[in-house]
Order: sequence, then C-alpha cells, then structure tokens
Amino acid sequence: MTAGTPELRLASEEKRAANRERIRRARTRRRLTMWGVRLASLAIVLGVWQWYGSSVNPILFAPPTKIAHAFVMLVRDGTLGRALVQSLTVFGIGMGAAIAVAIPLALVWARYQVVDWAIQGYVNALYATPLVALVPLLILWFGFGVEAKVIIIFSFALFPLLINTYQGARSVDRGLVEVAESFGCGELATWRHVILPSAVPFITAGLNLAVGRALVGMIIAEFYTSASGLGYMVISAGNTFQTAKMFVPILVVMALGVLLLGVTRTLKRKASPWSEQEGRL
Amino acid sequence: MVAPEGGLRAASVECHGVEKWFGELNVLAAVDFSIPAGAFVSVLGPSGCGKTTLMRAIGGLTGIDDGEILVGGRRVDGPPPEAAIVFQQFGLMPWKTIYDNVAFGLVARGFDKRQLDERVRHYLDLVHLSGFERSYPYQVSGGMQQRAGLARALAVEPKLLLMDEPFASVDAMTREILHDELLGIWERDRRTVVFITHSIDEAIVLSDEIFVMSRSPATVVAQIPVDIQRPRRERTVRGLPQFGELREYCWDLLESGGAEEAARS
Repeated sequence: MTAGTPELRLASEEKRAANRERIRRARTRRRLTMWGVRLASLAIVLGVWQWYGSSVNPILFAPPTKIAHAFVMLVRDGTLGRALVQSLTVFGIGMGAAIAVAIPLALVWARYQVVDWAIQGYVNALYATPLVALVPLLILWFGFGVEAKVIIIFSFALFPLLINTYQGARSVDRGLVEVAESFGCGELATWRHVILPSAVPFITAGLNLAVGRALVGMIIAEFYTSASGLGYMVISAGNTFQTAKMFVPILVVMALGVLLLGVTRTLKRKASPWSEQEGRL
Repeated sequence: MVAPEGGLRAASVECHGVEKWFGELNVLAAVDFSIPAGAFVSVLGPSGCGKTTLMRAIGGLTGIDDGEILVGGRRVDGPPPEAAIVFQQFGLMPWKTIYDNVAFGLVARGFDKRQLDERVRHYLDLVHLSGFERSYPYQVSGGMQQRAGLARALAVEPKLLLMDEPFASVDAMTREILHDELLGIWERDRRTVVFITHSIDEAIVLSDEIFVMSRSPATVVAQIPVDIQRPRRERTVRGLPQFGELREYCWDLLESGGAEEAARS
C-alpha cells in the first residue's frame, strides 16, 4: 500500500504509465468498434433499401440510387434550392415572431398574478390542442399566402416557448431572490440579476421544443397553402407519382431538423453551463 | 430611544419585545437585547428554535408581529442598508462568476465601475480567492463558495454583518480554517456581527458574547460574556481552561432550556 521507498514509488509510477496506456488503447479500440458498427449498420440499411426499393413498383418506393439521382437533378435545376429558401424564410419569420412575443408575454404572465389567473387556462388548453386542427381555420382567416404560413409556424412554436419561459421565471430559487433583496435590489434589478438568468435554461429548452414543433407547422402549412417550399415539393411529387423526387425534400427536412435541434442543444449548453451541473449545487 | 453609535464602521442592534408568529405557532417571544456597536455576538440555540427567524427579522427579510428592532438606532422596515448577510447555503448566483458574485452587492448599490473593481479585488484577496475571479461557483469547493459569500457581504463594508450558520455546510477542517480567517478579518475591522450557530464551540471561539436561546417560543435565556483575550485562534482557544468551563456552562443552559437536541458539534 505505502510507497515509502523510492524504489517502490518508481515501480508504481511505471505501473501507472502502463495503466494509462492500457486505458488509452481500450478507449481507441472502443471508438473504432463504434464507428465500425455504425458503418456496417448504414451499409445494411442502404443495401436492404436498395434491394427492396428496386424490386417493388417504383410508384410505391424508390431505391437510394434513384433518390440520389433525383437529388442531383433537383439541385441542378434550382428547384430544391428555391424551395429550401422559401421554407427557411417562413420558418425564420414565424420562429422569430414566436420568440419575440412569447418571452416578454411569459414574463408579464409570471410577474402579475392577475394575468396568471386570466390567461393560464387558455394557454394550457391551446398547448394541449393538436394545433393541426386549427390549420384549416387559420387558412380561412389568412388565405393561402406567406402570411398564413408564418402564422401557422408562429402558433406551433409559441406555446412551448411561452410555457417554458413562464415556468422558468416561476421556479426561481426564492433564496436567491432574498439574497438580492438583502443587498438592496429593487424589483427591476432582481429580475435582471436573478429571475431572468435563472429562467435561461428553461427558455433554451423551450426553444428546442419550439423548433421541433415549428418544423411540423412549416410542412403542414406548405401542404395546405401556396405552391412553395419543401412541403409543396413533397405534395407535388406525390401527386405525380414521382416517388424518388418525393424522398428528396423529406430527407432535406430530416437533415434540417437534426441540424436545428443540434444548434438549440448547443445553445442550451453554452448559455447556461451551470445548469448542466445542477447536481453539484 | 437613542442607540449608542460606536465607530463609523459599526452599528448597534436592539430588540425590544420582539414577537413573531407563523399562524398558530409562536416562534419568537419577548426577545429583548441590545448589542453595542462593534461587538461580535453569537446567537446559540438548537436547530429549528427560531434563531434564523430572528436573524431574518434583523436583516429586514421578514416582518415581526410585535415590538421593534433597531439597527444603528433606526427602526428596521425592510433590509437596512447598514447590514449585509452571509447565508447558510452561500446564496451565490450560479450564473455569475466568483468575481461578479462578490461584486453583486456593490452593483446593486450603484457603485461605479472603477471603485467597484478596486473593492472587489481587495476583498477577493482578503478571503484568498484571487485567481478564481473567472470561475463559476459550481467549479469551486463549498469552502470557497462560502469565502465568496463572505467577500460579497464584506465588500459593501456593512456596519452590521449577519451570519446565518455560515459554516454549517462546509467540512470540519475547512470550517476551522474559515473560523481563523473570520477572526483575523473581524479583529481588524470590528464591525458588529450577529452570528447564528448551533455549535457551542464555534460560539465560544468567535464571540464576545453568547446569547443562548430557548426552544419554541424562542427567547434569549442567557447572555454569556466570553472573556477570552484577542487576537484569538481556534486551536489556542480550545486549549484554554475557560473554554471547557464555558462549554459546560452553555451546555447546561441549553439542556435546562428544554433544548435536549442541541447539537454537540
């Protein structure tokens, strides 16, 4: 146990170096295995898809090679790029409007008991409603143009942001509010130094949820409204039985979703590094 | 009722017939005492006896139902600007760096940037936190978090320092080190300190006077002067014969005061 003599200490240091080396090698092996399995899995999935996709009626399914071909075609003639820009534009406006409305509204909601009593019921009910059910109504009100799309995306993104921000502001540590009070902070300073920062992890979590829902809203809006965007590409390819072409916007939306959720997750980690360590506090 | 005002740096504390109820529960009853400016007083009592409530009342964080509390001769109605609190659970903002946490009280009081920076660095240095300015609370130990809590309170240069079992949640070895540091800091400045604790030893080591509180409803049953020469250090105080005598005496008082569960720490 004890490393009293120099010889013993030397021996244990060698041992430690050997251990480190062993652990490092085990970790490398593990990582290689992981990537091996992932690649093999991808190869199998693509292989089965290719085989099955080529053996059934092309109206029902398309193999990866055909989809890749369609992808290149759609990129070349600019269709995909145009649709992507159209989709991202309405997505950005709708999402931005949702953030701009939800956060201040939620803070007012959390601050004033009267507002809480007045609106809590509606917000919870609307959050629970599958908003898809409201889409025909929204189209009736706002037409088939860009406005309708923006409003649909806005309403899909609004509620998770609203509710999360509200809960973040409400679940502030009372002890810290007291600390602020004891140092002479007024209400505004307490909001600035305590309540708002403590709500940040909730807001970013809400953002993560809102992005997922806004993407759903975007596609649905494009199904029902004007002839533009990735959703419309899916519909129009489907209506003309061009199945390989239909897969392209679907895969693009999938990639978009993965990318945007990755961004919001990173934002959450960067904006509130302390909340990752909650257990230690 | 004019309070004896000590040095510029210290404020007196007086309680007159203070009473506090939580619904049907009488927490504080007939609390009467006065603490001269510049004294270090420990309020000693069993856990849950109401001593934290007393501190919160002095700090203006909770109202009282009868009587009055004066800090520096002025009636407490909201947090008195003379006072700063060191909290049991440190009360650091997890989203602020150690530097910003220590600066917090000064920011709240509207200090300008240069003046603030000088002070913050001075007090960080005083509690041995220089070099950790950019760390976040979760990245440093409990002892260091409480040093930051202490520095934050000291930085506003309060005339009254209220400490609510500040060392209860750090380990024993760190606690002893922090005791000595607090003694060193206090013996230089002599601000008034009201130190809440359930540890007899801690009360003896640190204070000029110990107020022993009884359990529900809590009231001050004895005021015991601690005639041990300063400057003090924990290990030397513990070696003195008076230490054992005082310890026995406090212990007897707590037991006879119905405080069977007083912690022996």
